[in-house]
Amino acid sequence: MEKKELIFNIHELIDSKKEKEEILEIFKNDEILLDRYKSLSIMLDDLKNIETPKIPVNLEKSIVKKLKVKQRRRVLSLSLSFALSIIFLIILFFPSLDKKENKILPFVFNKQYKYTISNYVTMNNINNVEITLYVKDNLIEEKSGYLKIPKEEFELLFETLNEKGDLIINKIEGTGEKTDYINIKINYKNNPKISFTGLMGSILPYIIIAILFFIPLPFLIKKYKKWKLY
Amino acid sequence: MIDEKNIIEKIIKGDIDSYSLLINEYQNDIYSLCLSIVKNVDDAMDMTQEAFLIAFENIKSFKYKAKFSTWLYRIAYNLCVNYVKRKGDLFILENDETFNVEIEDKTSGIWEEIEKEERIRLINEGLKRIKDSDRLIIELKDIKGLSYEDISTILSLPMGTVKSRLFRARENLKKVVENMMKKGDFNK
Repeated sequence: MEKKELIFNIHELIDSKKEKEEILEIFKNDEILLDRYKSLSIMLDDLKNIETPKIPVNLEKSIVKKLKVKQRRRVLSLSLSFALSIIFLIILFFPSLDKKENKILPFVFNKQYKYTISNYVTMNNINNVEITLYVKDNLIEEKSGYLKIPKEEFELLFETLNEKGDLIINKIEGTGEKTDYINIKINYKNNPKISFTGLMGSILPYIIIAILFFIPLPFLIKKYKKWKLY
Repeated sequence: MIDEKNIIEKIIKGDIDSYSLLINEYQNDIYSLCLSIVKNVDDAMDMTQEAFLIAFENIKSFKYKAKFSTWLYRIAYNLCVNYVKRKGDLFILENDETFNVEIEDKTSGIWEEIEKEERIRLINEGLKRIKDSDRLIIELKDIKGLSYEDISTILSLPMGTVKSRLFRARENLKKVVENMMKKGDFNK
C-alpha cells in the first residue's frame, strides 16, 4: 500500500467511531504510522476547541423587519392588483359607464314629399329615437315639432325605409298640409355597450405600452439593490 | 434544541416572528462560514443577512431532504462564492492531484510537549496560513463537526472528493503548524 493511502487510512480511522485503543492496536507494529496517528489526533482534538468568530451584531431584528416590510409590500401590491382588476372589470361590463352620443341622421327631401334616408347607424344599442320636425309651409306658419318614439317603432319605420328607400310624409304626425320643405332630424341616444373587442381595440395598445414599460422595472430594482449590496 | 420542523411549518403559515428562532440559532455559524470565504466583516454580515432572506423566501421549497442548517449553509456558500467571483477574487475548491504526502521524522513528541493553549494558538495561526479552500473544509468538518454528507451537500461535491480534500487540508495544516513548532515559534 502506498504511503498516501496508508495516511489516508489514518484519517478514515480517526473519523470512524472506532475506539482509540482499537486504532492504536492497528498501528502498533508501524511506529511511523502510530506517530502520525498520535500527532494527527492531537491536532484534531485541538481543532474542536477552536472558537469560530461570532457575529458582531445580532441580525435577528433587522432580518425580521425586512421580511415584514416585504410582506406588507406584497400584500399591498396584491390588493392593488386586485383593485385594478375590479376596476377593469367594471369598465368592461358596467352599463352605466357606457358611452352616450347623439347622432343626427339627415333625411333628404324630394319633390314628391317623400324622404329618403341617407345613412343609418346600427341600431343595436339604441334605446329611444327622438325626431325633430321642422315644417315650413307657404299656407301655414313655420312649425317645428318634437317626436319621441320607442326604438321598436323606429325599427319598424326603418324596415319600411330600408325596403322602400323612402318615408311618406303623412306618416309623420302633424304634417298633413302642403309644405314647401320639411326638415327631419333624427336625434337618437346611442348607448353603445363597451364590448370586449371594442375595449381591446381602444385600450389594449395602452395596456401593452404600460406592461412593456413596467416589465423591466422589478428586474432593474432588484439589480440595483444587488449592486448596492455588493 | 429547537423543534425546527414545527418552526418551519409556522413560518410557511406566515408567522415571520418564528423565524427569529432560526436566525438566533444559526447566524453565528453562517457568519463564520461567510467570513472564511469573503474575508471581510461587513461583507460577511451582508452575506449572512442575504442568506437568511433567501432561505425565508424559498422555505416552501425546503423538503427536509437535508437538515435545515445544511440547506442554509449551502445557500450562504453559493452566495459567498458568487460574490467573491463577481469581485474578481478567486475562490476555488481545486482538486490538487499532485499533492504529495511526506512522512518525515516522528512529530507526535513535539505535539505532546507543547501546552494545549499554545497548540491552539499555533493551529489558529496555521489556519490563517493555509489556502482558503483548505481552511473552509477543516472549519466545516473539524471545527463545526459537520458530517461528510452535510459537507458534500453544502459544497456540491461527491463524498469521496470531500474526504480526499479534507485529508489534504489536514495534512497541509499539520505541516504548517509543525514547521512553526520546529522554528520555536511558540511559548514553551
